[in-house]
Amino acid sequence: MISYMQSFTKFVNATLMMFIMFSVFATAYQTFVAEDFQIIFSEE
Amino acid sequence: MRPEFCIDANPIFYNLFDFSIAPPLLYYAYIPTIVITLILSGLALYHNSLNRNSRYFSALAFFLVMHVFFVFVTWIAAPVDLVMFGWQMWPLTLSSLFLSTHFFLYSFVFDKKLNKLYYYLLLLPLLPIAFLLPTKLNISYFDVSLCEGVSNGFLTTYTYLYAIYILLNIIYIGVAVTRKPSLTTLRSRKVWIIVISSFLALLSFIVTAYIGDITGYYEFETVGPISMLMFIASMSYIATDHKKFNLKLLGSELLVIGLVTLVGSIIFIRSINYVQYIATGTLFAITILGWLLSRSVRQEIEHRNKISHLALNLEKANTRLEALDRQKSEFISIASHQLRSPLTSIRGYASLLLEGSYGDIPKKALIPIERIEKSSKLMALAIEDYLNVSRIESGNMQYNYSDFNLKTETEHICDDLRHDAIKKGLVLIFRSELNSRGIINADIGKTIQIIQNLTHNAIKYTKTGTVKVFVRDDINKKRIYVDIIDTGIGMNREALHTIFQKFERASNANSVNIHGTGLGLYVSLRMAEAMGGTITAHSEGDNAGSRFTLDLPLAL
Repeated sequence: MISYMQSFTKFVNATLMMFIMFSVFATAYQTFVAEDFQIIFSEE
Repeated sequence: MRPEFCIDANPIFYNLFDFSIAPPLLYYAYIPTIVITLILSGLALYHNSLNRNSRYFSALAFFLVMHVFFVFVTWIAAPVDLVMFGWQMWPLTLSSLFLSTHFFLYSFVFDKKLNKLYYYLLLLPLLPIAFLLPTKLNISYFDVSLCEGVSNGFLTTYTYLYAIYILLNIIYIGVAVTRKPSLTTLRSRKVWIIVISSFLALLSFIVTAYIGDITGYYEFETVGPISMLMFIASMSYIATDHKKFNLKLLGSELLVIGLVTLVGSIIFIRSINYVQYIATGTLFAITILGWLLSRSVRQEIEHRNKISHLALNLEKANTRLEALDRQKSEFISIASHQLRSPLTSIRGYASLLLEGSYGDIPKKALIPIERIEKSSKLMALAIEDYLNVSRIESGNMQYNYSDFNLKTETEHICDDLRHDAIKKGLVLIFRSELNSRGIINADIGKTIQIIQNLTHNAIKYTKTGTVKVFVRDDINKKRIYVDIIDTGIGMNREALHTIFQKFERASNANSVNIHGTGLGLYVSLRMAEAMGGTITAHSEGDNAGSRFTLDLPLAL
């Protein structure tokens, strides 16, 4: 039971880390590759 | 069309050191922070990679470097993509920095892992930040003319709230420290330094960022990482003399040299007064830090010198004590010899008198002469013990090895002592259970003396009951054992530890009013050890009897 809990915790941690990494990659992709960012020129 | 570079940027050199774009403070504050943090975390990991504190500290250092790097990029870099990316990463790197700082502090202060519930309570609120990172809720659009991201404020606000949430938890750690009396003064001072400095550093991070946000003067934000230097400095101060990090002189020297070089070089790069003032100020601060560091190192060296001086004195004292001990043994040896010769004649004449060699003795004189004979016998035994001790201690004890049958010899000893046992109303039983012939290679006289001594003790200290002498062996281990088990006064746990020492007798030994010098067991054990054996004692407590086991190597 304890080892199951430990591996479950490891799994959850790994999933969270993957998720965070994924969001970083998604941000990088959208910024550098997809270039779907809205660019404006202010009046100044 | 999307421009490749920010409009106000100089695209030729990527602007990394163009003072016209960003405040000069940036170059000064950010590069040393990154370098020092990397050096410190690298050292912490290198010295103690398995330690939980080291790992958390490395995580903290990693997120600090990431955060400082992205802030650096947003200020300095010219390519629009890069600036935009750095701008978007801000919420994630800041919140990760806060979280890892909390984890490190918790682990450092309480020296244990966070429990699962608390861990997830801190970690899970971070997820929305990661989730919203690539969305419009982070940066709505990007203003190229100012080279700034424009947000609608949702994620920024959430990040601030998360940061405050973590700060409150750090305050909770601080409160818990005050309620923990077990901390030593030195450790608690260190805990305080680290908790307060990290709290102030993190606080200055969000306060400066928030002021930048609401006023639009993002230059305020550049002050944050400078305060982080304070945190790093306090970390290094702790690292130099705290066992947890195991960083020694090398780390602190490297740090001081790195700081002085980096900051000192700024003075010579450009003659901007602004930079010079700050650099001079920091140089001053770092000089103080360096002084503190070297002082702690000097103290350590002084301690070491003191200890080595003490060790030298101790060695001298020890040599002197050894000489005194040798002299004492020699004295006892000489004195005992001098005592023994007249005693021999006293004993001799007393027994001659008793045997009637000088004619009939009046009945009145018989008892005193018997007493003289008995007392002189006891005295001769005591002198023999003292002589043995002095021989053992001076290393002059001679052992004549020969093969003999231990079982037969033990049986003879029992036969000899049975008379004494019967006189006291005791039963002396001899048993043997041997898988070998029971031959050993040892000094026969000394072995007999040991068994005699142990059996005699058993008879002396037993008022009623039996004394069993049991010879057994273990062919696999090549050992032979003689157990002497009695139903006598026994002894307690403390006595078991001390009875084999010189002049020690069990505390209840006097209760049976028996003469003894407290040297018999000491001599026996030393002699058994010299012959490759040992003696062990066992007893369940006072009045529970005792068992002595002589253990000798079997000659197969």
